[in-house]
Amino acid sequence: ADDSDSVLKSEKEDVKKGAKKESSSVQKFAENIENLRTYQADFEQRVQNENGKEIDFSSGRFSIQRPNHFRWEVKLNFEQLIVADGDHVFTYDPELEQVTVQNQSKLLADSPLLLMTSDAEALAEAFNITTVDLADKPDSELFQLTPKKEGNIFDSVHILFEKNKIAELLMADTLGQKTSVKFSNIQVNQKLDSAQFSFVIPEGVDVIDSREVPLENGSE
Amino acid sequence: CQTNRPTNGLGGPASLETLNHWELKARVAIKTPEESVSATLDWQKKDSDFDFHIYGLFGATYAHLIQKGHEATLKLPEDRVHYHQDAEQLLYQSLGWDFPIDALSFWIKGLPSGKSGEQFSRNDEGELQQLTFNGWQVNFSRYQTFSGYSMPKMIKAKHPQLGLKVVIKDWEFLPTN
Repeated sequence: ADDSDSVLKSEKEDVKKGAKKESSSVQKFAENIENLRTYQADFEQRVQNENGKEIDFSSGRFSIQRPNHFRWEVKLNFEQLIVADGDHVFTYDPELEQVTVQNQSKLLADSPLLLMTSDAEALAEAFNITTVDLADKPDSELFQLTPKKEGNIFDSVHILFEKNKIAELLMADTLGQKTSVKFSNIQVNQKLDSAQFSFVIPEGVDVIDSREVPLENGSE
Repeated sequence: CQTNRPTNGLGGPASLETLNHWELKARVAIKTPEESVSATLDWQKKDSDFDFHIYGLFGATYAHLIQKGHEATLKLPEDRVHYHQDAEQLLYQSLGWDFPIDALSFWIKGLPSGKSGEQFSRNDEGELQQLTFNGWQVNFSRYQTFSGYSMPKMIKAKHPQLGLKVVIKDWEFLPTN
């Protein structure tokens, strides 16, 4: 795939219909995402194995504050908190008494969460984005994102927008396992308390720092 | 999960060692020199057959190891699927992991596996506390009652190339017929 440095540039140069469709899908997807300056919702996640049997259920709360902050808090069936503060992504598993710290920039294609806080350019670079036609649902748009780079644990991510709000994610891993995440109580562009996008590492947990440059100034 | 204890057919509670048809769900943290992952483990066992499935946030499979009769299958991300008669050999050949999955099926219940070279110690209540085997250092803690049996909720297993921390969420013993 062409790794044009900007979506607009690729649109002008590339006249092939497919590419045109793709770049307009990228543009449309980026617009939808960029319209959500903040987003907050409850989620229910269901994992199905390749035979369609539900093997896992979890629920919790999800919020985004663009450009690059998000919070994914699993409350049911187990506890987990993922916070992206713009530089780092903290994953806290209370039961496992463990916090993992990673560079936010490195994770884009691996974490569907991050694609919702990325800009058009980063998205076009990491994913082939196409729109899926939903004839019967006028106010819905379905996008399919397939990672361009190898070594990704997901084959594809589908994102459904209803009335310009993210309503559902559907992720397929490379072994036929499917995960559906449905959102409810969705609030868009409300003022959010920015404290929810910072994370202080609690006492007594194993800290696994998989960034290249370790935490310079210790935990804020 | 079942609260009544499986019986040994004579009305008495079946001993934990003999219960070989079970399902468990756990949270696991896996640490290798390259990466650290926290995930969900679904592990089903029926005598020598088992299904050992580790998947991460958003349900993406990290590793899925199945032993059925004399065929072991290991599924890894990006459609990498490997086969062998024996699961432990398969893990070693495919991932270079010296992972004693059979011994782990005893440790997970808070029982020594009885394999040669294994050494262990018990706490004052007689519960398995620490164990060493083939380069693995295993610690057992937070004993609580699952399905009528007192078993560890947390198991930490350390090996030079692999660290594993398991927190059990749910145990279910299934009828043996």
